[in-house]
Parts: sequence; C-alpha cells; structure tokens
Amino acid sequence: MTTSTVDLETCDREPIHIIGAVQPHGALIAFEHATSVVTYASVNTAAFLGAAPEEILGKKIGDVIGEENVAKLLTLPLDPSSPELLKPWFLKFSGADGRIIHAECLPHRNDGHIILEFLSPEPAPASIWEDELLRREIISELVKPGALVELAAASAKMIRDVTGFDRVMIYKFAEDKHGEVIAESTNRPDSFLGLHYPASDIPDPARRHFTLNVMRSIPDINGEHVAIIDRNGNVAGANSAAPLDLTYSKLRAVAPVHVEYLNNMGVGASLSISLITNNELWGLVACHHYDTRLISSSRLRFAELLGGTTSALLQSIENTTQLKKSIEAEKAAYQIEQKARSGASLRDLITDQASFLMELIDAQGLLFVSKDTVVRVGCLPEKPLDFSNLRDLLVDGVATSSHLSSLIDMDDEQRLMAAGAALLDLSEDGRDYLVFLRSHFEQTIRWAGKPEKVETKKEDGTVRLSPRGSFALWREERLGMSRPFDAIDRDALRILRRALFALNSLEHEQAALEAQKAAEAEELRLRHAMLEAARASSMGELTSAIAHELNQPLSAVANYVGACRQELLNSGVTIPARAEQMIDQAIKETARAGDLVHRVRNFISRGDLNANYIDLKDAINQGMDLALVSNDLPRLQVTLLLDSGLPKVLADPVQVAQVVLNLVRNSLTAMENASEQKLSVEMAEVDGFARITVSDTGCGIPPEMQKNLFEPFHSSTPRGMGIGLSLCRSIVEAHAGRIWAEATGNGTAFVFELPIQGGFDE
Amino acid sequence: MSKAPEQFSVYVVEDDDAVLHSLCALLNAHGYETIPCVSAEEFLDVFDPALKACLLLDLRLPGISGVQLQSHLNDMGVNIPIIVITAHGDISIAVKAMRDGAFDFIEKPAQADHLLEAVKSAGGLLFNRLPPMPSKKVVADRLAKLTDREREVLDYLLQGRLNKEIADELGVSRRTVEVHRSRIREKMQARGIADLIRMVS
Repeated sequence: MTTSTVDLETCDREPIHIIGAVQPHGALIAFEHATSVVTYASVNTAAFLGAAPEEILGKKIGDVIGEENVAKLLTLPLDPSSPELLKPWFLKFSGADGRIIHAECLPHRNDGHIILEFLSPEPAPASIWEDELLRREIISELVKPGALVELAAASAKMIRDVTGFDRVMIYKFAEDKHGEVIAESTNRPDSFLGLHYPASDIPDPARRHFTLNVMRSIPDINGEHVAIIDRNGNVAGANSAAPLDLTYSKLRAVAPVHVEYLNNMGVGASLSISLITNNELWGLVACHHYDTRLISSSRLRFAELLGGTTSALLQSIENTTQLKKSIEAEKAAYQIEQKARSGASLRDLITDQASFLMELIDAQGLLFVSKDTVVRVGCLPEKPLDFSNLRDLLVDGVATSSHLSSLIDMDDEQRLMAAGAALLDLSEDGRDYLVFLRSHFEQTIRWAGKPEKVETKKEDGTVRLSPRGSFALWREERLGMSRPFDAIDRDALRILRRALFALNSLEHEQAALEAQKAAEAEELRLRHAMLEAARASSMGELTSAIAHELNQPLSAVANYVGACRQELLNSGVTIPARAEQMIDQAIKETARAGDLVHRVRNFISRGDLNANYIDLKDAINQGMDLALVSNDLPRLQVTLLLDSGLPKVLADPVQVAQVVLNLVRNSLTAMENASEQKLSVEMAEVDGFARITVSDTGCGIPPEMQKNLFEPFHSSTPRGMGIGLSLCRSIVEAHAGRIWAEATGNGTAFVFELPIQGGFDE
Repeated sequence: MSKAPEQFSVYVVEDDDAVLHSLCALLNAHGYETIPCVSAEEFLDVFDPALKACLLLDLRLPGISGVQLQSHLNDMGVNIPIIVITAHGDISIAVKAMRDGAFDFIEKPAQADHLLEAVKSAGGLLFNRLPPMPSKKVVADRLAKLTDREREVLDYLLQGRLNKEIADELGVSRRTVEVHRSRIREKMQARGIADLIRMVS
C-alpha cells in the first residue's frame, strides 16, 4: 500500500486501455490478421464459444468459427470509425463440443489484430425497439426542441425509457472540463440536476476513451474481471510484454478507480454515451442503475442511436446559436463600416454603437483607447486599469478573461466592475484598443461533493488511491469573476475586431495622409511667404539704394551751392539780395528733395528683422529648395554639408533663406555655360560664427567687379539690377554678421558668417 | 564769413566723386585745407599723423568700411577727431561710432551750417579749445523738464534705436515718437542725437 499522497490525477497516467481483462457478460478472442492465428482469449470462452482458451489459442481462427464465417468476417467494416457505432454480427458455428453456437459478435481491427467480442444473443425475438416506426416517432420528438436544455431533457427521458435505468443524466462539459448536469430523468427522489462535477472526476485517459469509444456499458459494476491470456497463459495486461490494446473494446473491464467511484455513489450498473459535437467531447449521457442491469443489444443500440441523434441535434443547435451571434457581430461590423463610409470617425462610431456592441458581447462597460482619445461607456471603475497582462493572452488580436483580478492588481471597485474583460487590439503598435468589461457575476456553484477533497484516509492513517468518497452537496461562491467568455463570444469578438482593426488602420492612414498634405501646404505657404519677403526686401533694398544714390548728388548740389556763395563772398562780390535768396532757395530745395527721398524709403521699408533662435539648417535648406525649383542646369551636382552640431542661432529664418536663395541663384547663373556644374553649400562653426559657404564652378568674378560686388546697381550677372548681393549684405549686416566673396581654383565662393552668440545691439 | 582762425586740414573720405568734390569745395571756400580720399585705403595711404587735421568720414564705403577704419585708427592709437557722415536711418551705426569716440556725426544731405560748425568745433578741439558744453547742472535742469515718457524715449534714442522700434516697444505710433523726439530736442536744446549723447553721457 502506498503512503504517498495521491489523487485521481494519478489515474491520468493509468493505462486503462491495456487492463488485460473483460467484463463477465461476454468473451473476447483476438487473432493476428496476417496469420489468422488466435493469440488472445478471455478465460471464459467456454461459456460463449463452446471451447476453452487452451482449445483456441494458437489455432487458426477458421478452426474456431469456421472458414465460411471468417470469409464473411473479412468483408465486414472492421476499422474503428469515429463516432463508433455498434456493428453487431450474428453468426452461428459448431463449437468444439459439437453443439451449434449462436453468437452475437462485435468485431473490430486494432494494431494488426482482429478482436472478436462475443455476447449472449438475445433470447427473445427482436423486441419492439426494433420497430422502425416507433423509432421514427421517438426521434421526431427529439427534433422538436429548439433549445439546448429542452433537447437534453427530452433526450434524457427517452434514453431512460429505452434503457430502463434508474437515472439518466446529461452532462455538459465547461471549458475547464468540469461537468454540469443540465438534464436529468430519474425515478429516484433525489436529483442531481444543476450539480457540477469537478474535472478530475473524469481523468484524461477516460476522456480520450469517451471520444474514441462513444458507448460504454457496465451491466455490473462489481462483476468479476475475466482475464485475457496469451498463448503462454500470461495475462495480456499492462505488465505483460505484449498487452492487448482494448481501446475500442466494448467489453473492456472496469478500472478499479472507476469501480470505486461508482460504488461510492451507490451505483450498480452504468451506461454512458458520449455527446460529441464538432469533434469535441461536448458532454455525456450518464445512466445509473442502483442494481445490476444488463440490457439487450438492441436496446443498447437504440440508446446509442438516440445519443448520436442528440449529439447531431446539439451540434446543430450550437452551430445555430453560434451562427446567430456571428451574424449579429457581422451585422454590427457592417453597420459600423457603412457609417464609417459617411466619414464618421472610429471614436464617434464606437460611442454611437456602444450600447449595441455591449449588448452583443453581454458586457456592462466599454472602453475605447486610441493615442489621443478615450471613450468610456457604461459601468467602468473610477480608477483606470493597466491591461498589459491581459494583452499577454492575445490570440488573433483578442484576449479574454473572466477573472481579471487574477491577472491584474485591482481594488475592490475595479474587481466588482471589471471582473471580466475582453480586449480587442486595434493597431499594430498596441496603442489603440477596445475593451469590453463584464461586471462581477454572483455565482454559486453547487458541486456534487467538494472537488478538492479527493483522497480518503484509511483507519490505519495511510492515504489510498481513491476517488471522491462524498457526493454531498458542497457550495462554492465564486468571487471576483464574471460570466465566462465562451467560444461563441470569442468568435463574435474576432469578427468585430477584424472590422474595427481595418477601420482604425484606414483612419491612421488617412490621418497620416492629411498630416502630409498639411505639411506640404505649410511648405508651400512658407515658400510663398519667402518669395513675397524676397520681393519686398528687394524692393526695399532697391528703394534704399535709389535713396542713397539720389542723396549723393543732392548732397553735392547743396555743397556746391554753399561753396559757390562762399567763394563769391571770398572774392569780395556783393551778392544781390535776390541772388542770395535764390541760393538759399536752392539749398532748401535740395533738403526738400532729400526729405522726399527719405520718406519714400521709409514708406517702402526693407522688412523688419523677425529674429528667433532657429536651426540654420532649416533656413538654408529652404533657400536651397526654392533656388533649385527653377533650376535647368543639365549637369548640376549639388553637395550639401551642414554641420548639425551647431547650436541654435538668433536669426530671421526668412531673411537667412533669402541670402541663401540669392547666393545659390547667382551660382546657378554663373554656371550656365560651364562644363562642370558643381554647387556646394556648407555650414560649419568658425570662431563663434556660423559660417555658410556657397561655392560654384562657374565663370568667376571679373576683377573690375570685385570692388563693388556688394554695392547696389553693380550687377554681377547680365540680368537683374544688381540688388541681390547688396540685399544679402544688408541682411547679413543686420544680423551683425559679414559677407564676402573668394575666388576658388575653378569658380567663386560666397561666404557669410552669423554670430552664434547674440550679435545684435550691444 | 570769416576764415578759420588757425589753419588745419580736413581729410574727406567719401566714395562718391561728386559728393567728395563738393564737400571739399565747400570747405575750401570756408578756408579749410582739404585732403580728398575716395576710400579708407587711400586715406591710410596719405594719412600724416603730424598734420593737424580732422577726418570727415562717410561710413558707407566699399572695401574697408568707415566703422572698420574708425576702429583701426583707435587700435593704432591715432587720436584724430572724426566727424561721421551717415545716410538717413543709419542712426544705430552713428551711435556706435559716437560711442567709439567719434567727435560728431552729420546726416546726409548735410546742411552746410551744421557741417561747418562741426568742423570748426573739431578744430577747436585740436587747439585745446573745447566746444562750449553746458554744465552738468544745466543738463540736469533740462533733463528734469522731460516727462517720464520723454525720458523713456530718450533712453531708447541713446541706445541707437530707430523710431519704428521705439514705437513698437512703447506700443504707440511712429508719429507720436517723432513728436516726443522734437520735444526732447527743444527741452534739451540739442541739435540732434550727437548733442544728446554728448550731454547725457
């Protein structure tokens, strides 16, 4: 006897399919398909085949049941199908003792063997259950209900009618594999309806057998195990070198754990039929009898048929429910998509459709988060939640939990309002998402016995491998949990998510497009502003230059007239009063002309300095771009070397751009006829100044022009009035900088410097 | 008109031939010896430190500018009185020149009286006769007559700010600033900014 703690999970590892025995209500023999030699036999063959195992083992199967029957056998469908259906084969042959044996045989092939299971044929002729008409009537009763529970109840009742068991229950398995009795038909006073059974009640190997072998009949729980032996007389069980695989056997003996489990419940006979939908074990029809109960094969087969029909109907009802929900989700998605087409934003759509969406998902709260907006609808906790742990559960962009507090630290209010959550990821970067919150769901689960207490202690204190001893009602209050999100919910969520994700991506794309457009418009505006400023300042420079040029002769006139008068006085000439007056008048007029010029110049001002701390690179690039827009030099190569380590400089970006624009334009003009057309613009820091150099490989500057290069009206190009460089000088000097030109080996470099540290008023 | 009592020369540095020639003619007519130069470079060539002279300097010159020449002379320790000639609106440059030790400045087109007065004063300086300068008390009395706003405008003027800048700074029209300026000139009995700078600093 083991002393270690064990529970029913030990059973998960128990090899119940090689138990090496059958139940006593039938006999089993198996022969190798290839050699036809009988290799296994249960020790009770004499009662069913008229021959003891030692008379059969090692013989050809034809010698046991007759060649004719073997030929027939091999034409039968022998491979297990899923779901398995009983395929009885009625045969007769001469037994070893010479009497004619009538047998009902369930043959199947497994692992190179053909296994024959023999049952006592029904003594009476075919019972009324064989009546097709009756079957059809019963089945038409089953087809009527449209809801799961009604169908299950009808099915339970019918199966009890057919089998005569004391109690027929229908279990439905939840996602965590625990079972709930959703329908019951019984002649007993107590009821198990609504009780939950822990997942450990049906260990995984048993669960596997339920899907592979849908029908399991145990007429006597405590019936003797009838050993299966091989040709050496050894039991072909788990300890044998060559155990016989009884996965598909109908007679397979009952595992001791299961015997104990059923005994603990007081059950004497059991019959179970698996309910399988969409290839999953959906539930189980469990029939219990409180005495032994062997029912005829035909009833068994009919019960099986009823189970199969129930399965099919369940599947159809489930599929319909799922389809309905999916259609609703698709509808919701479609509506949102339609409305999105009319230009509504995702935010508005979700706000608008929130209550509809919440109803669809059966949620009480909705939260929509995107990078610049949050929408909150319904029951939401005051304090926001961090959903990052829930994100870890994302599958296809959807994560759900009905027990959020097991993932996230939450306060009481949060636990109440956000007991469960479904998160839909709406962007690649995870910044946009939609969350449905389900409130706390007051749930009391009535367990058929406390699920944890599965081990029992014997009087001597040792713990024994034991299924649950108590099936007394045990209530569990589930706290902090919401109604679970099931597969149907998740399908609907995925449908919604797909549509919302697509809309969100579209919205982001459009936003990016609009931002780009706005940026382009802004650039265009800047360009226009610069051109405008360039025109204005050229005009101002022109006026200023004209004013200067006019002032010079006006000064000279005034000086000459003044000098004249003095020379006359010096020579002793008495100036007539009228002449004296006219001299004064002439001088006054020059002053008036000067004043006029001054006022015109003030009127057309050069544009004021609008200085800011700016990145010179941007201004330079702008000037460059503008100058290159109208470039038509065929071989132009542009090199731009701008040191990005320079600090920001107090300067007027538009005016700096103008300087660059003028210099680059001059360079381009100078290179019009050059074979090499290389323009280079560089910026570097030199002794506290930002030095910008615009060099070209153009025609250079003729020596006679160099002196007056920056004076107005000394055009360096054949076109233009010669204002450009003068303007450049005005701008640079207004920035307390300087500008000059240098002859390079193969062209000209114009250089200007702007002080990096405050170059304005001292 | 009387001749200059003590003979001294005037270097005239001006790039415009007509202006240069006419200035020299005017000064010659009033008895001054003139040495015309079309550029700062030429001035440096012909400059004779032994000669008693003042310098009439146009600030806008090709090549070495007037401002550069002034600071160059300062660096060399040349102590020649400089009268700066500026175009209209170059007040800030003129103020800088004054700060750097220029003797006076004149706006173009220059009025003969103003010009001759300045040259005469420079001559007086050369012969250790300082131009008449109101006493500190007189200046203080005059300053006391200014309104707060006029004081404010004066401060800006002394910083070399343009009317427009002052107007923006004070949030008034340019016209108002001009009115303030003329009141300040009246009350301070100053001919122009040069006088104001001299009085107040």
